[in-house]
Amino acid sequence: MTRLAQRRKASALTGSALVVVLTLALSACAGAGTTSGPAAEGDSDLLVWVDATRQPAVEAYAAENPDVNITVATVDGGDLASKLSLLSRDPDSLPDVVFTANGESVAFARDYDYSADLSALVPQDTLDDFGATISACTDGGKVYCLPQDISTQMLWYNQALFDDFGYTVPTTWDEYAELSSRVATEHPGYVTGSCGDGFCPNVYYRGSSCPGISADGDDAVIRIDSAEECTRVTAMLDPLLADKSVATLSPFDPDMTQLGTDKKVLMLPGFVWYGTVLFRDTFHNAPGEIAAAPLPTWGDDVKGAGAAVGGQWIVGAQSSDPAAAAALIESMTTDEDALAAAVTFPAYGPASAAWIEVAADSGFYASDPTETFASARSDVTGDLFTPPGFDILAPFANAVAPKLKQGDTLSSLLGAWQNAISQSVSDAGYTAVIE
Amino acid sequence: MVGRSEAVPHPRSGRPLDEAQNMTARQPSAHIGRRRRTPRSTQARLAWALLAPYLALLAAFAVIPIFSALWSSLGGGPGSRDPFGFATMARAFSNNNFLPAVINVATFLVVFLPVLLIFATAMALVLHGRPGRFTSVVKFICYIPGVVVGAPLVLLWLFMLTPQLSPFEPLLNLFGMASAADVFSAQNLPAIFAIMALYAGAGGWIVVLYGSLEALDTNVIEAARIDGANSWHIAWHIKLPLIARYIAFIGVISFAGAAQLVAEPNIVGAALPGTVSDTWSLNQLAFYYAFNRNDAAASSAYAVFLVIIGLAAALVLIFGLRTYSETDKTR
Amino acid sequence: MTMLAGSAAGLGRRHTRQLAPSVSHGLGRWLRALGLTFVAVAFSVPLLWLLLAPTKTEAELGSLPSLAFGSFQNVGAAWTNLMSFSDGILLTWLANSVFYSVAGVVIAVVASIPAGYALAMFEFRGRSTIVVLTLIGMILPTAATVIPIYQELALVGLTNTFWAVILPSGFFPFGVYLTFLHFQTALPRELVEAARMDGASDLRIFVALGLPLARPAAALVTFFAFVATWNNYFLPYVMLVNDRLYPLQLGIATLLNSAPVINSSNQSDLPIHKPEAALAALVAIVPIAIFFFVFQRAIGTGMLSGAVKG
Repeated sequence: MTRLAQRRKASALTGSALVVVLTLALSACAGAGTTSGPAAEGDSDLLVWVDATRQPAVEAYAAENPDVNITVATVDGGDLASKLSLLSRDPDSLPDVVFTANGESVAFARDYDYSADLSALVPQDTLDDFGATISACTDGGKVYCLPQDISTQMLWYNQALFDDFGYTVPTTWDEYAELSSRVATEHPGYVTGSCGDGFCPNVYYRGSSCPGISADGDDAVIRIDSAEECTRVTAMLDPLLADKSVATLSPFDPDMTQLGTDKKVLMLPGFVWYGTVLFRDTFHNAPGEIAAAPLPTWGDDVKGAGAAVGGQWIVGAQSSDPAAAAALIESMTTDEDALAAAVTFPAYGPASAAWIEVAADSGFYASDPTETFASARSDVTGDLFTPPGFDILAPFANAVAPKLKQGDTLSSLLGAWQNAISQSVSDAGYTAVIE
Repeated sequence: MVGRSEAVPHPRSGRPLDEAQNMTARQPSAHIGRRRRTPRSTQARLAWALLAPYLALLAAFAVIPIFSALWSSLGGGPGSRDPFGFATMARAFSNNNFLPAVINVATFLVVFLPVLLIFATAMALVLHGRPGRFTSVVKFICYIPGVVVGAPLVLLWLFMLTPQLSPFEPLLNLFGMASAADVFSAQNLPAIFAIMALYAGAGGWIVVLYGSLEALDTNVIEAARIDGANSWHIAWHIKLPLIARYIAFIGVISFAGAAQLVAEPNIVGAALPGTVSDTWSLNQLAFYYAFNRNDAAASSAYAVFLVIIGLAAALVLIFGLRTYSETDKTR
Repeated sequence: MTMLAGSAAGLGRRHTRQLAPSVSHGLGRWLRALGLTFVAVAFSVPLLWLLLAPTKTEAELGSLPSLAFGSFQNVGAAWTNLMSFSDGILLTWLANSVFYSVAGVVIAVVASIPAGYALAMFEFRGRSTIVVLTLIGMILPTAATVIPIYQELALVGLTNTFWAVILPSGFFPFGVYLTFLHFQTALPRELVEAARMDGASDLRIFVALGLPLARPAAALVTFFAFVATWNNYFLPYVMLVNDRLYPLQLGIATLLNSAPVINSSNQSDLPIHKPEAALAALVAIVPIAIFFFVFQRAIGTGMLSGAVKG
């Protein structure tokens, strides 16, 4: 080898070695965690991540509690997992309090060791007053969050139209299906349900006690196409989708909004907050048109099975002042006055009664909703915990909904749905078993 | 041949040379092996000094990250869940969402790239056929939408493709689409993303191609016209072959960029729930596993896959151009 | 994708004779004019809509004809609503974008011009490697680099600061490539040789000959680096948590995610609807459009560049 070539080879080797060493050093250091960012200054310094909707409430708390130094950062709910995953190697920059609207407290604990166990920080009496909703935060005996709200399920309907058309409100799913088919022939163009995104399985399948997945050790057994509670829903929905009484639209699709403002939405099984958010604010229904009835039943199913805890407040396990952080989230979730005026239905027992009163007094509903709202809440007795990865909603929205809109039947898409679910459970570490 | 030369233009820069330089004007300016006054090592030292800031940035923001991603995709580094080796890649590529994402991106490329290249080339040729004020105005109008990028671009086209709001409503109705749900059906998605990308990107490439047409030797074109060729013939048989390598370059760069489609499906999926999967494209898949599943290793595997696609396109460009320029000495 | 726009144009205005128009006779001219007008209308209608959207209310956007003008009052109302989001953070975002883009450009130019010069003018070991690395750098996907870059900057404690945005923005391989091309064609070897024979050192040649000639390349690099930094979304998304540090693209995406305009299942009473979203988009676009205007001459895309040759 010539001297020139030798020198070239040597410098190429040195160069590559340098790059490799630097890369390994980078990986190693990144794994060990860093001490970047401003160190915690004094005590009672809280960094709080919330979305834009909760920001005013936190700022009000900060104003009322000047001894706690609160820095609020607006982090969009969809970004939470990403930001936490980036910062998980940088504990000093992690927030003390996080609000998630996607029920991720247990996932954050399992994936990033982020969520703190609140059973030591919050009095047991307070935890008990949350009733069954606290189960959504509980994993392995530890309580990882305080629930902000619970979405109970009910059947919304346009009472004015029902009176006009001479219909009676269905109490069973069979009656619901019958009525929908009638509407398709007698009043085509009117909508009796929505199935165009994740809300569809949330209302129909989960409302039928069909969680679709159950854990069996390390396996996750998927029974969408085999369990009776699930197949009956598919059988009911397919004809309704075919005659278009159930629209292949999300409740928040602009086309659904158009139907709503045109007063073509006859009934809509959904959540308690549909009344204000959807009917009053999006469809602009006039007062006295919309009413709520209990969700139809299959006759032998568990009531309240479809309810879901929405917003959750989490304290970071690495927080330098967990007591102050816990005090903040307690206030956010138990302050009756603030919660009664909120858009969503509070999870905290005493506050939910106050909320129902405010709703009944609002004068928007065609008939007194107190009984429906109260029974929907008291029906919630079971375990609301969904293991991370056991979500059937996002797989539906990703794999089924787009094809549904093209006219495919629900039964033909069950395979795609189960496929997407099995990927989701494998990502969470389970072995997917489709029955 | 050498002689007086007050107006002989330098073959490359167009600047006139004086007599003394004419002697060396014959040599192509990239020719190297000349005797130097300064020793090579001093030159090299200055070169490295000039390169130093850029090299620091290159190392920090390109070389180390790409090796780090490679290392991570082989199962090394923190956040790995598989043994070292190809296990991570196997897991990533057997993911149920991987093949659909590849198909989606491939469909998008097949729709987008030919339309982009044909449209940009046709526009450049038509514009160049008659330079003037009108041409400049049209060129500018096509170019200015390049300022609309990212979320504003998708937002704009969400509105443009919602018949009730859009100025294009009559056109959409013509295609039987009366509502946003009709427009944003699964089989239309590649075309929709192609429209967005075309709107923001076509203008820039039209300007590039127009510029390359301007740089052509006018003698050839004039000769053809004198021989009686009409404008179509000149465009198709004379101008087009001469700018072919620019078109190829644009194709390759656009290919690499288009394969990284991510913002458009993300935002459309957020705006119209249930229409677009949140792992519709390969890049979305990479970001999903990085950020939603805290699985940096799988994410790196997808990212490495994207790099390989881009590199393959770049290699095609380098070797393709080399062969082209070797066979074409008349330039 | 607009990265190369104008580079060939900027470097290519060299022929000295004006071409006679190829399309000269009647029907052909009319067809051409018709076709080009059609394209121009198709391209300008969406932007027109965007300009007019804030003048209408949410309801009017659907009820009035799509290109109708509403009222200036509505623009004022939309602006007030936008400013109500987080105490007018939109303006902070705008200032951030300007700062990041200017700082990024400074670093990019300072790094790219000497680098391009060195690659074009000297022969040394490793030269072609660097050129190849630069070309690869131009097509490297963000997905591959963004997390490792985050880890690097976290090591030195620079994440969630403006350095985390402007330093990676200063890495601009396309600028190096442009400069490299420019010096290859604009600086004849003969000139350099002549200067050397007169006894000038290479450094002096760079300063006295190279730098002045670098101006067109610097203009191009400034333009593209500014636009690229202004439009960059994923880099600030990963690097920044503090929303007061966000640039405009990231901030607007956050705003749209929080507001009911894009996803009406967002249960918030933020007064951000379609007119406000359109106005926010205009705020993101107008500065860069002005920038396009200002730089059009330098990069040959101008309204006048067709009429004035050379």
